[in-house]
Amino acid sequence: MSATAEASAVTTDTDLAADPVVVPPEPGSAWPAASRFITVLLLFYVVKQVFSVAAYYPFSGHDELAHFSYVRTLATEARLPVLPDLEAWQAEFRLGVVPAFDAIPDELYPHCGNGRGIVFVLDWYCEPDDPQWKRKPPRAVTVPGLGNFPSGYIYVANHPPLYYVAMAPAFLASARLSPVGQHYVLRLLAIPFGLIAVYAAYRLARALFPGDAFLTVTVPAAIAFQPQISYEAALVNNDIVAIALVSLLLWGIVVGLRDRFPLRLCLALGLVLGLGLLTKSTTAIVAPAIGLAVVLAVGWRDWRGWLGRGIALAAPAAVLAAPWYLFLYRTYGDFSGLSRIRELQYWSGPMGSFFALLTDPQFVGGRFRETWGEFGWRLIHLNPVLEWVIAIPTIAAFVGMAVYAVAVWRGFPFTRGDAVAWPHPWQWQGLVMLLLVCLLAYLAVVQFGTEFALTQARYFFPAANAAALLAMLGLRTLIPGPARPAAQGVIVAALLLLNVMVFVAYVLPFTVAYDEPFAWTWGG
Amino acid sequence: VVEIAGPRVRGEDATPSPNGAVERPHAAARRAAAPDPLFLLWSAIVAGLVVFLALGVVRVEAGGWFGRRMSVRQVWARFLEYLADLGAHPLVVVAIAAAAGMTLLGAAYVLWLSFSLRDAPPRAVPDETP
Repeated sequence: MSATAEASAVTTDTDLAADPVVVPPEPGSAWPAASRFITVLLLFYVVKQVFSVAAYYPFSGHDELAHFSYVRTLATEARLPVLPDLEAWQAEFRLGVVPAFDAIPDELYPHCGNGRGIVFVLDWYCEPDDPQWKRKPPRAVTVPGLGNFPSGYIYVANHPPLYYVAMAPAFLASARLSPVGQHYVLRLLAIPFGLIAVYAAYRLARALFPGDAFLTVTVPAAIAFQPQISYEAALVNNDIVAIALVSLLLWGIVVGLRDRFPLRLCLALGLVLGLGLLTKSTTAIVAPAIGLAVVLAVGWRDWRGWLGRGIALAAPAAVLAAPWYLFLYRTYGDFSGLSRIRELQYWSGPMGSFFALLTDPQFVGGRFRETWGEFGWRLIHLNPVLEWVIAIPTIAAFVGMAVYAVAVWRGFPFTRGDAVAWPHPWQWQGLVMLLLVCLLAYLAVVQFGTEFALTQARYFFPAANAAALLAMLGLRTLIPGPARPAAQGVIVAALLLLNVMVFVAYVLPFTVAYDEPFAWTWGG
Repeated sequence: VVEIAGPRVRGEDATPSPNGAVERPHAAARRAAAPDPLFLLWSAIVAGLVVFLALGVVRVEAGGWFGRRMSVRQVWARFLEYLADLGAHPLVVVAIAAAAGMTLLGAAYVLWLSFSLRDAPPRAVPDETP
């Protein structure tokens, strides 16, 4: 019997039909058992991630070579790399020279793939065993019918600079190491951002439903054990920083709804949002939710209240992010650089129209597969049986969310005594905001697919904490109260076993057998 | 509305019990006589994991060895060889192996705490503002 239920029995035996009681939190007090849990989880996470850094083959993560090269350019030349201007490049190429551009360095060419089916890089013709290219890596490709294109450019050069600026000192400090050694140093530095995401998941669960053990355990555990988010936190990449910062923003939204967005919180959220926009533009998905949450918390009639808070939020974000976006506009003529990417990626193109992708089961299935597998730049696919093992509880979580929404709406009697099932207005508003962020993040993935073939589930990952909380709330709804202590442990155990299987049957064998001819597997 | 403010029966700092955070004396006595089902479940999971890692065989599902059946120990031994071939200092190899071992120990403890945590007594579990 849970502590809450037992307490109810002690004090309300005579009034079993009493209305549900939601006791407001008392600022300043603590929950040591939960603190112990999160402390151990975070320590566990650090050692797991250190092992993960070594387990993934060097430079095998998505775009690691390009991210590494961006850091290198910034650290060694004190400037931002730039995407080549295709028109100017082709004009110069026609004169008989291969024009220079901000390129992934020659010394990294051996890491582009194994020449036997494995390729870890976009837009760099990869035949590292070919004597000609080994001696002088290719810098141009001729595409029949389309012309000549640069090859091996830093194709993440249009990404905001914060992550790369943060990594530059470590790059310089590790200059004596080989590129592989330096890349391991940068991989290790991704771990703290993963830690932030896990901790923010814990704070989010506790802020929204204080005292609920099931959510306190399962939400941060879902983030700590989620294979692809853990993967991001063991690679050279800016995605994990965006995940960490949006995770903080989600926590802040819920606290803001609860406390009516005090000025200090607004300023802090604006600062974090600005840092997020300086990390990856996908962070912008959370901005509408912040704005809406402020209006909900303050009340739309109190326009002075939400306007003042809006300014406190927007000003730091705009001041921080504006220089970068002005740079983008001046360099590429838009605020994303994607028009130039579109020109350079001759092989890419739209996956379909917005509504076609939204309703395409294959598109949805592809994003689901990427959410859980597709390590090593989409070369490690999970077995379909394992995918179903993951899909079934995921579907159950969706069903549970729907049941929860109906239960809250109709106030089912069987939920009496369960504070989670009787949320305060600020709590359900918080849930709606989390749902909104998930929807916006997914729609952004769909929208990107209307322009580029390589839209990916990881663009959704900044919303991971929101998705984890909603999913675990859904599962919680389907699990009877007395079974929840066992269920929360079983969920963590299942996530643990999933990780063990991923490493033992997929990641480690892939890494160790890198030099052997690559066998295409599930879904390849 | 009946306000519930249950007595704090158990010190919050005490080691959590998987048999329920708040117990009456007779429940505690019963627990002393019978093994805790959650403890048994935790033990079974941890023991199963240890046995799998020590004796288990997996079908490799990715990369150049796709389709091969290999023991977990074989995969692990080849991984340590790979690290050495990559040029890792022996101390680094030991550190990575230690990290893997600590990960497993940590996972067992995290799992125990996951089974153990119970809803906090009402009014005792606020969220600290950031």
